[in-house]
Formats: sequence, C-alpha cells, structure tokens
Amino acid sequence: MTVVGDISAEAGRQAERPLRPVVNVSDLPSVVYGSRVVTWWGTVGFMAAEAATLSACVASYYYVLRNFESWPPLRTALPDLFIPTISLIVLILALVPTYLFARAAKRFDKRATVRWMWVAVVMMFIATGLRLMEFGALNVRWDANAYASVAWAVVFAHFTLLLADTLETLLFTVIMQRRDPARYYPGVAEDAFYSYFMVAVWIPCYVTVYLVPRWV
Amino acid sequence: MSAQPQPAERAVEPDPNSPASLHARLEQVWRNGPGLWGWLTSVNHKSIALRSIITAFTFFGIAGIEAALMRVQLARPENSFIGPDLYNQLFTTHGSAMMFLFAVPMVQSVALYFVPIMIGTRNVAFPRLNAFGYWTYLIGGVLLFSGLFTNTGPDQGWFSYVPLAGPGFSPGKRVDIWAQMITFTEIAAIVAAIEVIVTVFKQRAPGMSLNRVPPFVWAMVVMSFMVLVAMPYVATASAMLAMDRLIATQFFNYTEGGDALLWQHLFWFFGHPEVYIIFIPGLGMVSAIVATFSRRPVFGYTAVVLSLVAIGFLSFGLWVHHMFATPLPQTGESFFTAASAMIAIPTGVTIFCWIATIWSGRPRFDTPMLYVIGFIALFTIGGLSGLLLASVPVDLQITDTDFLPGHIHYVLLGGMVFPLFGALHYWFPKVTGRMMSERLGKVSFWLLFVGVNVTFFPQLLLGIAGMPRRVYTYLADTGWGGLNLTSSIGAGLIALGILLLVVNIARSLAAGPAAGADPWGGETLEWAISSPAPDYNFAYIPIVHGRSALWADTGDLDAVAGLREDRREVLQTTMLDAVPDSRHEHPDPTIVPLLTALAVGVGLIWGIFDPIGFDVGAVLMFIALAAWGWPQKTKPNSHEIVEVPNDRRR
Repeated sequence: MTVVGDISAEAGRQAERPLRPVVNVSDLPSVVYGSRVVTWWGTVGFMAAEAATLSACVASYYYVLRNFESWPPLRTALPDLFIPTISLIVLILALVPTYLFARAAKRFDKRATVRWMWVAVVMMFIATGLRLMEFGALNVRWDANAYASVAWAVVFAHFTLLLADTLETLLFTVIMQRRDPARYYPGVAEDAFYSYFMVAVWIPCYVTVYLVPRWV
Repeated sequence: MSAQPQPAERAVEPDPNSPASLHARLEQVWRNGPGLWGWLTSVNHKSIALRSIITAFTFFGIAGIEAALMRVQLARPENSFIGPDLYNQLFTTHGSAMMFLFAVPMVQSVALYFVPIMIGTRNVAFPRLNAFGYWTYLIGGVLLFSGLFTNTGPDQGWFSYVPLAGPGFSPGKRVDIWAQMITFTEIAAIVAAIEVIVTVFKQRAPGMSLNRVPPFVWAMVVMSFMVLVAMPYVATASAMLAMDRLIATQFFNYTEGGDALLWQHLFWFFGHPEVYIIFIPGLGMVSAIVATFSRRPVFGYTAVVLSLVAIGFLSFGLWVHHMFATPLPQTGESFFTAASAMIAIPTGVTIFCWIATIWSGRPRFDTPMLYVIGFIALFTIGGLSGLLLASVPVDLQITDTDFLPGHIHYVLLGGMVFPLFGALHYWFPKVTGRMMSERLGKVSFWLLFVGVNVTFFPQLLLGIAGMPRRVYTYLADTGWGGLNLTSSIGAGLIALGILLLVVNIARSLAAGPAAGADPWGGETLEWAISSPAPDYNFAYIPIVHGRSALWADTGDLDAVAGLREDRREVLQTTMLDAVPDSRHEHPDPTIVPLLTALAVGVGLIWGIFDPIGFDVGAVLMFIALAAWGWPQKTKPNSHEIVEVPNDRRR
C-alpha cells in the first residue's frame, strides 16, 4: 500500500468539505420489504439475542441433568405430554394464517391482511392459554429441585417470546384495521417472520423438556 | 455550527438552494425540541450518545474514587480507615461499575456517536430504541449506587460466585441489586449492539462497500455481534441467581441438584468475550488514531479487519481459562490453554500492522498518538501477565492473589482506557468545536502512564508473594507494606492525571481555540462536516470513492440529493455494496422511550422486593410499547412511494 502523499495534516482544514450532489434519490421507494429495510435487520438482531437466551436455558438444562442419577429425579413425576403437544400443534397451525397475512400484506391487500391477522391472533391466544396450562403439566413446582427449575426456565423463557409476539400481532392487527398506513405493511410481514422464528425455536425446547425425560 | 435559524431570516432567504437555506430547513426538521422536554424526548444519536458518554464518565469517576479509598486503606498494614464490610461493597461496586456501567456503555456510546457519521448517515437505524437503551442504562447505574449509598451495596465480588451470592450466604437485598443492575445494563447493551449492526449494514453512504468500511467501524460491528451472543448469557445467569434468591428456584443449590459451576460457566461464557467486547473497540480507536497521525491508511487493512473478526470468534473459546482452579477434565484445560495462546496471533497481527503503519508513515506524536504508544506498552505487559495465567500450573499458584487485579488492570487500562483517552483527545474537537490543550494533555498522559505502572506492577509482585486479592488489610510481618504503599502512591498519580484531564476538558470547553472542521487532516467522513456536527450530520449524503473517504477525494465530495427536507428521512443502501436502495422515514422526538424504560425500571426494581412487581412492570411495558407502535400523526404532503415486492409465490 502506498503512502498518501498530498495530505497536509499540519494545516488541517477549517472549512467543511463542500458536497456536490451528483445523484438524485427522490424516486427511490419509501416502502420496501424484507432485508431491504432496517426493521427486518432489527428483528434478526433480537432473534439472535433471544436465541442466545434460550440456548443458555437449554444448556443449563443439560448441564444440571448430569448431576442426577435419574431424570426426572426420584419422587418427581414425568411431565404430561398431552397439553404440551396440543399446544405445539396449535402453534404450528397458527403459522398458516400467519403466512397468509404476510402474503396479503405484501400485496397491500388490507381486507385479507386484517382477516388472516385476526385468525392468527385468536390461535396465538389459544396457544398462550395452553402454554399457561403447560406449567401445570410439568407436574412439579419450580422450587422442588434443580430439574424443576431448569424445566420451568426453558418453558418460561419461551413463554415470554410467545406472549410478546401474540401481543405484538394483536397490536398490529388493531392498527391495520383502523389506520393501515402504507409503511406498516412491511412491519406486518416482519411480525410474521418473527412468528416463524418463535415457533421454530420452541421445537428443540419442547423436545428437551417433554421428550428427553422419557428418553434418558 | 451556526446558530439556530430565525424564521424571519428564512422568510427573506433569496435562494432556496443555497447552503444556508438548506441548513436552516434541515436543522428545523432534525433538531431536538426546546428545553427540558426537548432533552427528555430527544432521539438524536449524538445527543443521546453524548449524554451516555458523560454518564459513563461519571460512573467511572465514582468507581475511581472507590478505588482510591481502597488504596488508602491498603497503604499500610492493619489500617483501620475502612472496615471489612464497606471494603467488600467498595471492591464489588468498583468492579461492577467499571465493567457494566463504564467500559461497555462507554465504547458503545462512542460507537453510537461516531459510527453514523463515519458511514455517512443522519441517525442510527432505530432512534427511539437508542433513547430507550440510554434510559435503561441510566436506571441500572443509579440503582447500583443507590444501593451503595444506603449501605445495601453488593458485596460478593463483581463476578458474584455462588454459593456466596446465593440466598444462604448473602441474605438481604445487596446481591439482588447487583443482579437487576446486570439486567438493566444488558438490555441497554443488546439494544445498542443492534443499533450499530443495522446502521452499518443498511445506512452506509453510497459507495462504501463492506471492504471500504473504516476499521473503527468494523471493530464496533464485531463488538456488537459479540454483545448479541454473550450478553444474553449473563442476563440469563443473573436472572437465575435472582430467582434462586427471590422465589427459591434451585439452579445453583447443590443440595437439590443445582450446580455452582453452572454459574461460573454461564458467567464466564459472557465474561471472557466481555474483555474483548471492551478491547476490540479500543483496537478500532487505535486504528483511527494511527492512520490520521501517521498520515497514511492503516497498513494491511484486510489483515486488520480479518484479525478483528478472528479475535471476536476466538474469544468465545476461552472462558474456561477463568476456571482452571475448578475440577475440570485435563483435556479441557489443555484445549483452553491452547485457545488462549491462539488469540495472541490475530492480536499480534493488528499490533504489527499498526507498527508498520507508523513506520512507513510520517508520524506526529500529539496527545492521541501518545496514548496509542502507551496502549501498546501497557497492553504488552498485560498480555504477558495473561500468558502466565493461561498456564494451568502457574494459574493454580497465583489465582485469587493480587496478581489478578494487577493483570486485569494492565489489560483494561491499557487495552481500553488508554485508547479511549486517545480517542477523547482525538474527537473532542469534532464533538465540541474546540481544541484541547496539548501541553496539559501530555502532562496528564505521562502522569497516567507512570501512575498505572507504579500502581499495578507492585500488585503483580504482591500476587507472586502470595497476597490474596479482596482482603481489606494484612499483617505487618507479611512484608507487603512497602509494595502496597508504592501501589497507593501510584493510584495518587492516576488520580492527579485524571484530575488534569478534567481540568483540560473544562478549560477547553470554555476557552479552547476553535477547531474548524478537520483539525487533524483526518481520513474518515466525520472530518468532512463542521465541528460540532449539525443535527442532521450531512446536508447531502456523501458518495465514497475509496477506503479513505476524505483522502481519496481531496476537493469537493460527490453527494446524493433527493432525500426529503421536510421530515426526517434517511437513505438505505444495500448491505454489501452500499448501492442506494430506498428512503426511510425516521420518527420525530418522543417521550415514549423514557416511559418504556421507566416501565422496565418499575418491574425490575419492584420485583426485588415482591415478585408481583414483575407483573406490574410487564403490564406497564405493554402499554408503553403499544404507544410506541401506534402510528404517528400523518404529516401534510405525505405520500409513500410503494414498491410491491416481486413475490414469486403469488
């Protein structure tokens, strides 16, 4: 690399550099979708942080597991499978209206967007209710032993994501129904994008909390 | 920067395209509101970053005073200046504040101030989120010191080992305050990291492809990615600790199958990257200073950037070297020793690149450059003492001795504080429009440089002599008195150096000579605009033609026109090549970020005393976030240019 020779650093510059416009961007779009817009990247950032949080909980689960000869520990019942499995199925099914409202949002089709958003919201509220019942289905209180604590931690950590996503979708639905500003449509699509993530990360959590105790 | 425009002047402005007229219009749109309300509602990245920098310096000052008090106590054997309980609170809050309230927020604030300007945009990607992050951080910091000042200061050490920090051995609220402070600062850190990454990925000036991004900006991006992965671990760990204490979970209680080592793993999986989270931005600052003061671009740009990325990755494979004194499998120890040695390679590459830069350039040794030289010297001693610690047999002998504080202070003062002070002298003219005194700057540099060595080298020796860390006093016949007194004298020199620095800042603010736009002949875009930078940063978004944006074009800069001047609009460009792609409207000032942070504050602080507080906080937060998401009032002449995506699925 060569030395830049003509920089007179001793003098410095008093005046700011004149800026000479040579390109005009006024006809660039102001509403775009997906990775072209900052909010998509922001969502990805939060996904990364949330995935790291869940991974810390799941890693703790397997770390503590090594301390026990039987898992779940003696005199601790296995978690139920019925409610958690129904809850998982509802969550996955909720992705269907989610996909449909994201697709409608990309067409700027207000009616279809709002309609499928309401369906998704109702299903996510059902999933949230089922998740609350899952805490009972764990069949152990959080303070019984370390097994109980880590199992609760995994389910609770993901519960916060589910609740946040459900409320966010509800909020977007109300906004879209009443106002539907053009620049909110990409946000709606990102809300769906986040839901895919939220459901996807639950699957290893579900396997960990409900199936692993049956396998080890 | 010119004064705020008067409406009357604008009315008679003859030419709407003149620079003054454009400035007036943009200033009108981008400036903060007036008065206290304007201050509370600001979403300008420079306003928020600057107050964050001042906040971090304030915490640095308080934690520094704590250090001075501890050095007074240790200056002679069997001193009774400070009792053991207060001493425990002092060293815990000193370490916690320096790590969580000073180092990380400080480097992130410097990033949030300069990254948007260096990449040629008008604000960070999410202005309200940025404000929210600051308020959250502030509440966390105030919480920690409120604890200390009410004799409820955490007293379990900054890494809060269980079982000491658990409910059995630390009753009361001290550790809970620590745990919640962690949660506040980690939320703020994660938010700031997302800001930096997204701003750099999507808002770079046209032409600034990824291989033209300044090394300083690269360093901040790498640091931000590390924050995203590392910080959730300590936040999870501290939440588990709080739950063990508040609602009797058993994560770390060995009688119920919990595990004390789980804490150490979770904490150090964050804690070791943390060192590099602090240090990599230091490398970025050094790169900026070295280039400008050697008057040539950094030697080996690609090698420097790849090394930064490599350090970021490798730093996640080292955490167990903090745990060599625990029962670990031998192969594990060997692996982590090797990984610890391996990170010396990319670190060495960057150091050699700077030496080559200085060697082949025409260096000037102004104060910022002195701090760079000081950094290289101190960091080398810090690194060498770290090599001793990376060796398992040596580590077993000196772990938990005074060698540790000696080592960490060499590394952190050398690796972060010295580059930071260099950066302070370097960018002070840009932030304030005034130059600092070179003479005072050099005196305070030498006081600090000598002071750091006089303070911390004796601590390395004391550690080898067997003095444990974290003891509030020692007996005279240990023979440790002389070295401790030396160390305390060194601390006095550091205090004097900092004091002179503060005097220099105050004097320069009041009466420093005007800096002009570019006092150092800098390489990067921040030196193209006036000092201090206007609220909108760039009247037109510059177009970049090379790695050294200002050295590649020595005259006028090509620029982009067409962003709206009647609202806050920024240019979004493509991620790899920075081709103009779309326009994005930013929110106006709003109180909602503050309210959201207060909701988080109510939840986390109330939760210390009663778990119902968490629920209340969650409800308040939902209300605040609903206000956040609600569409702002539609502005006149609002028309969106909508591009229907090319969706193959239809």
